[in-house]
Amino acid sequence: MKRKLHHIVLLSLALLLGVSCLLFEDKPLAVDGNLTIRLQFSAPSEEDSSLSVPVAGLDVLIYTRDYNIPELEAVTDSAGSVCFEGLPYAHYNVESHAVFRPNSYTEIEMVGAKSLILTVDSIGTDSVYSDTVMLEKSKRGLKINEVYTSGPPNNIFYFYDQFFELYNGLSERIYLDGMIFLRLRSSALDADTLSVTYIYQFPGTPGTGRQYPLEPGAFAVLAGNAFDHNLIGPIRGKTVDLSHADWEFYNMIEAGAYDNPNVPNLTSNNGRVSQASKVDFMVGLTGDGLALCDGTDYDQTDGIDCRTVIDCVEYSSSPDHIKEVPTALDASYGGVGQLKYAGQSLERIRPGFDTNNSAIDFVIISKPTPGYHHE
Amino acid sequence: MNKKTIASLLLLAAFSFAAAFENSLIRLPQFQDKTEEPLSAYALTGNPAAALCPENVQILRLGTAFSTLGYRRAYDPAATRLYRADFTTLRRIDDRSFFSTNISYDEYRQRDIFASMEKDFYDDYFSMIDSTVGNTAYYGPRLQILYNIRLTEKLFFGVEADYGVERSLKDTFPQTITIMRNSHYRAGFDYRGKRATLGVFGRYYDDQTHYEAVKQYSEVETKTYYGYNVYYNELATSTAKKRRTRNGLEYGGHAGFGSGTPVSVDISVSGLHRISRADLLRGSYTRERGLWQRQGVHLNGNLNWYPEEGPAAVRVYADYLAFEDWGKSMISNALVIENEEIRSRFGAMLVYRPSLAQQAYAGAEGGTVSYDYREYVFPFADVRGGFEWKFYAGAGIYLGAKTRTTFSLGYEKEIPRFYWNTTDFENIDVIINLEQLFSFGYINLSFEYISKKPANDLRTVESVAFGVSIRRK
Repeated sequence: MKRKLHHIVLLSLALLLGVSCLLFEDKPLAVDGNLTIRLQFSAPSEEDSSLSVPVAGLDVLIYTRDYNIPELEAVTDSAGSVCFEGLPYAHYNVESHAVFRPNSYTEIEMVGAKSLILTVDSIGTDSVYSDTVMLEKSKRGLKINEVYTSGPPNNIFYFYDQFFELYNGLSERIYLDGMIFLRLRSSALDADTLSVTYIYQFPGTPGTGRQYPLEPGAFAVLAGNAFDHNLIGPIRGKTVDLSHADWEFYNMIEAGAYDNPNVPNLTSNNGRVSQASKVDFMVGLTGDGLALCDGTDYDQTDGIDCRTVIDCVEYSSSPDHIKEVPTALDASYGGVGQLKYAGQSLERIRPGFDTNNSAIDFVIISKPTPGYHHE
Repeated sequence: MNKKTIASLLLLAAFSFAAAFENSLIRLPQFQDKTEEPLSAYALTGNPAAALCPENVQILRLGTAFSTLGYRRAYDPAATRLYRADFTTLRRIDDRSFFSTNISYDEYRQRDIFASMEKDFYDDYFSMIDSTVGNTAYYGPRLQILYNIRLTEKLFFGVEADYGVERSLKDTFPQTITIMRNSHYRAGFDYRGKRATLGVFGRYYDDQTHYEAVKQYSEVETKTYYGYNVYYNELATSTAKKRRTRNGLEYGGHAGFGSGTPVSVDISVSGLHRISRADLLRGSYTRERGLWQRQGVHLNGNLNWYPEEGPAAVRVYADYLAFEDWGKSMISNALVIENEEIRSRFGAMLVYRPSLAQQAYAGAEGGTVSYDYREYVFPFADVRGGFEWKFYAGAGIYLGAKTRTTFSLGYEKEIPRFYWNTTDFENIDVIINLEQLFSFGYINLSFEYISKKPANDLRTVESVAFGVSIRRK
């Protein structure tokens, strides 16, 4: 009996040790919050564009949307470098924006931005990360400035108040005549042409038309349905009045389609662009691709030539989204974390701010701002 | 053994201020219990082999406890209510073995919980919140079974199992459903010699909790905390699910000398380990968010002087608990939290027994605590320590031939953990029991009041509990 008991006790101890080895883990060596990011800011040399020179006195902003930690700002030193210490491993966006005056009569606006994915897996246990950010001269132009697609706060699945906002960042008037606005289908990331789901066109002649101007610094609102959506009971006071939109999407073969007679139309099936879809221009609530093209290539059967693209935006609420738009047009996608039916909208950080990287260019704002920019 | 006192104490334990269902890893012995005789090794350690069954007992208890948290932290409820019914039997099978069962059903309601999806936000370093304020009701049954057998003349073996399931629904948008399954299994040996007793025991602890928040119209916007100050923004989804898995081990031994004599000593030591994992479930994918481990050591002992002659008795006791936690982010695979806690207390109680029917006791205890809590994602540290003390007194008297009352008073200074805005609490507790003998058995009515007042705030935490128990004769 005693022998049996000894066996039971020994077996129990062995079992305890075995279970504890299986259950428990080793303490990690790397400590979060110790990350140092060193960035070198350079710009192309005025004398030789193949060379770069450090940029001193540049305001740099770094932030993460992963955690509720404050944004950090710093100024580059004389060597053009800046250092942020005591950061957690996370996804960061780096932004810098400056206006330089090489002489009394010249102003150069420069922007620099980068997206950094920093985890122990990506940089190892080395807690110092170094990188270079090249500043570019700001690309001013006609941009898709705001994308409101996610629907107002409601429980009736209402999302028909979608609109898109254009912004003319050029110093001169621009004409929208004949331009096309596209909802994109998935394309290869190195494709030369864009696959299209919907194609809608401004009236007028592409390139030479002068009927539909957009003044410098002006916004143009392209509404899915140009009426006051606040008139709908369940969403009263929660959404936008689009009755004064600048443009309205109108599908000529959509039965009973709403058409505000006071708002000019972007149309499909107008003789040049055509599509089989019998519904209005509607896009994914929290994920899709959009493009504004000059309209010189409007035959979507073989794809729209990427060289005609004026601006392109991809957005998705999912960080795991597989990119669908060629990287030459948009290096990433914006809108990660955007909520459906919460009245959120996507807008550029500053009017027309464009680095061809929507993850950096766009920010989620709590309510749509048709015809103006958020503060 | 004074059965009335047993019933009273069991009842009080059942309706104490603690939340209903949680099965904690660390077991702190109640040295004020059972003043009429030395505490058993089972009371000190929970070793089922050391449990005693002097006679068969059946107790039915019904009770409720209300608390109002005038002073509370961000994710504490404004008020709680606990309803409980339980039935306990202690029955001897033969002269070698006995078993005990306890079946209980709890309903625990929390009112006005701001955002937390957790039952106890401050019990986990990787807690999750959503965007709501609401009320939650937790309800479910629990079963405990203990079996003890004498293997040889001096060697006893015991096994104990505890299993419970609990569900909850938060009546807000998004609605949050919680399902908890909580169990522990304990086994041990106890050698009871003439001069000394010696025991070993082990315990396996398993806790599976599943949270699910379901959208009403807007998507569920959840955040996972890494500690108590920094959170990670989760992706908004139509349903947000979290799985918390906890597994733990406790193992130890105890020794006693002079059991059954006027002077006796008991000491015990145990080691404890627990791992807790928090995972987010999104669609068919599992996203690991964090894991944290706790390991520590727990020592306690008491010295009893209970002479057979004379009205006085003395109990001197000491308790030492030290553990450390570390938490790892499964997003960055780096250390994000460390916590170290040490508690030690030393106390003495004088018992005065002028007759079999009456007794009174008074005691005091004091000890040091130190907490060192650190978060690394965004640096935060809470390092505090100090001296805790408690004075208490109580008495039990017969009001008539069949009516007995007991009461106790306590006054305490407590240094709380994870309360950032106060240094200490001043606690007062009052317990009153009234027991009446009837032809079928005993009916006991109990009342308990606890007040906790923070050092620098006028708001308090108040708790009142009422209970009734019926014990068959």
